[in-house]
Amino acid sequence: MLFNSLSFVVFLVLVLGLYYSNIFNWNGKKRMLLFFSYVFYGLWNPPLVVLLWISTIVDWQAGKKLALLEDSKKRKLWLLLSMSVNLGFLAFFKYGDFLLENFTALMNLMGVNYEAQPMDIILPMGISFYTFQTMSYTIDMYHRKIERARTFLDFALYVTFFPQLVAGPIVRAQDLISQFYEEKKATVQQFLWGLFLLTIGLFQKVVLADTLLSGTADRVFGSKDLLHSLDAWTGTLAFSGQIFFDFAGYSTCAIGIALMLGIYLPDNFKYPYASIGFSDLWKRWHISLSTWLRDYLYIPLGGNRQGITRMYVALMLTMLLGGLWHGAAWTFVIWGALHGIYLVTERYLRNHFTLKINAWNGILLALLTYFLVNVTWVFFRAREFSTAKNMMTSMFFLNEEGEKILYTLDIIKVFVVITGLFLCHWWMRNTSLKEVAKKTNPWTFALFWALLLFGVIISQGSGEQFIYFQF
Amino acid sequence: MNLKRTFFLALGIGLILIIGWEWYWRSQGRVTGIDDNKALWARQMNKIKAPGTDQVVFIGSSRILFDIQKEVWRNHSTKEPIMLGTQGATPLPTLRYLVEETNYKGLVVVGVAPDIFFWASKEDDWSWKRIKTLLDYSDDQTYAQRINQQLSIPLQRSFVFYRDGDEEWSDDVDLKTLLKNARWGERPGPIQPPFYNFEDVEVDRNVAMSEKATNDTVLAHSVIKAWGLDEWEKEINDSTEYDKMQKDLQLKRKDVLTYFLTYADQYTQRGGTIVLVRCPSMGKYRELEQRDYPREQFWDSLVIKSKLPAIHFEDYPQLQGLNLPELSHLSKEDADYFTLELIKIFEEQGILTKPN
Repeated sequence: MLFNSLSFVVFLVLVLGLYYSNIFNWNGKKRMLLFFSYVFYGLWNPPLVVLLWISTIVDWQAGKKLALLEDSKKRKLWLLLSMSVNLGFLAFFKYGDFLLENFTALMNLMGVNYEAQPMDIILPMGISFYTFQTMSYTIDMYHRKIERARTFLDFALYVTFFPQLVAGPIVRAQDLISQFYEEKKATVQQFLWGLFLLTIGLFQKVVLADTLLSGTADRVFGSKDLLHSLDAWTGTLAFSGQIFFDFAGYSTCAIGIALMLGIYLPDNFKYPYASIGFSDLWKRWHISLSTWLRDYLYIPLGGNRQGITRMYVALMLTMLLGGLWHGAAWTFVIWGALHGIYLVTERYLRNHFTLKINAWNGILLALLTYFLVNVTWVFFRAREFSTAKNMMTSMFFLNEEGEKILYTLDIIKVFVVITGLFLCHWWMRNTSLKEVAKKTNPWTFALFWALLLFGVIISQGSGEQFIYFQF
Repeated sequence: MNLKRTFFLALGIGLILIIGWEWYWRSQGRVTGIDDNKALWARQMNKIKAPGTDQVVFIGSSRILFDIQKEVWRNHSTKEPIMLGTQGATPLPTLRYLVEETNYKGLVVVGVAPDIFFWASKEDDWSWKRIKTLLDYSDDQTYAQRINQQLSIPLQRSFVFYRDGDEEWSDDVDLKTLLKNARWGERPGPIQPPFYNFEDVEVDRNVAMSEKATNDTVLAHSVIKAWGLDEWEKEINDSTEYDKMQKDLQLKRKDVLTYFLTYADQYTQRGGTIVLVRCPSMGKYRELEQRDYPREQFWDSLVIKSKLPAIHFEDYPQLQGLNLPELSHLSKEDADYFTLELIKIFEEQGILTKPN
């Protein structure tokens, strides 16, 4: 079920109605939330709920054993079981065809005549999110960093909680499970702030991503021709805005919906396009994934405590795997590799040069960071290398002879939205929406809120899926 | 920060804006209506997947969609009409789907519009892609999408501003279409003429020409312009290009016939009945069809090779002189008449039995 759909409106009203009614006690409410979380997922593809159940049961059992057992070998085996099941799901459902394709290519390269039919496996929505979430639980249990979940119901709800089930934020057990132990009820202020976040999230998705930017990005990246530089740049900028508004929109909706239930979810985005450098970017973009990769991949690989070379290797590996997490294609690996190279270069420069950041050089560095991020988006969005190659040629060789496929208004529209986006991120860099809202006159705030709502209603859209659902 | 007050203010302002928006579009003469979208099409397809009654399935492009009126069909025949005809779509992938993906073996009426039927021979042709999108959607449709459509119907019936379409008609009033229509300059080439909605759609996917399109000659002419007949006519000016186009067409005709005959044979062999129907066209449209798709080479050849029952409007005096305001589709009144006459012809030819 999509947040930007009529069925979700009915679903949410029903869930909130039951949640705030006196029909259930707290355990009953949690059961109700769990049941509706399965409905939320199952209305997309009912049989795939079984995967959620398997993941839940295996990790619950593993967590229990990890809490009780002292024998380090047995503990390791339980951890391995949990990892195998979760990574096995990912390997089969997400990377099955990709692995087969590459195996076939390798065989052919070695002169072995081998052909395989694609398996055409359906990709369960949000599988990368909930498997990472449950793995974090067992890994933390293994390291005895957290207490095991008190009840199976709490744990199942942690895995399945519908606001963040299919596209995050990837929440750590200690941040969410403990919230289920005592009855939660949003105050009026919390509930309305949650509703405001839901409105702003929907506005980002429906109006900014789908209505204003997606058409241009799709047109440019769907073209097989060598494009005019202006068209190529407009398409890339449009995609940079689309993916931000799409994903940040989803996260904002998720945080808002959870807050309406009195549950806190962590921020997933902090105005990333005003980042100064790539370390800063990854503290602001998809924060829950970047911290997951830091804690469960980068640090175990050595982090920055085992010498510079090891650190660079760890960084590159983390970003390559981070790229592959997004999708089973080599273009995503290139995307990750570019980010790895940027991070390594930045660390190198920081170790050798000192620069005091002020407002003037800060904005220039932010623009440079945004420019480099856009280069990576080309590989992220292009379905094939040939498209990426054409785009890079058009963007960097200032191709005046290239095909013009965009209307003047499309170009203006994208540049206005992207300039607004960048300036907004720069302005909000060191503050938060709540801080700004507190300082805003109620009439101005109300007018802003009403315009967001109006924008969503007059745009409607045809219920486009969120981009990150495929990851 | 008093959010309660802010919320009620926002709600009030929001309501005023929405009411004003709705009022504005109504004052511009816009009316409410159901959108002929993917979900509506899938509802029809789902009826075939689970057949409960004696059915007749219509496949093809917009002519069969506009010219067959389901209520007339229901009232004068015992078979429940299922409408899978789609604007601009070739019937070939739907026929393949019926043969390979369903157990249906009832009556299938194939609408043959020559410039679509014989043009789209490959999967990357526009007309092929259009119907492929619908077939894929119908296969992949989620329960949530079905619920969304059910919920959207009362909204579509109540509000002018609420659209649930996939087609982006030039007179849609969602923000994306409004911005699209505001294009200026000809950077990537000439701007296409606007293509206004000229249909009334029912939930059972009965589609009829709107009263406005029937009576308003300005709207009818804007639709004719959207057919691009002038551009089509100009193709003949360059004789080398024209010869090349004719050669391409002959190749396409061959591919289309091979594809169609393969699945038509399979379908008839399992006991199904297929009837070919050529719905009316007129004026310049008809002339250009005759110029590039001469009946003898295209329609007659299809009928002879397939050995299927076939009805061409030119062969029946009662199907002459009908009203096609934009040269390609019948007005609602004449579509009712056409449907009734078609049923009679089917009965005469033994394709349908007369109801008791």
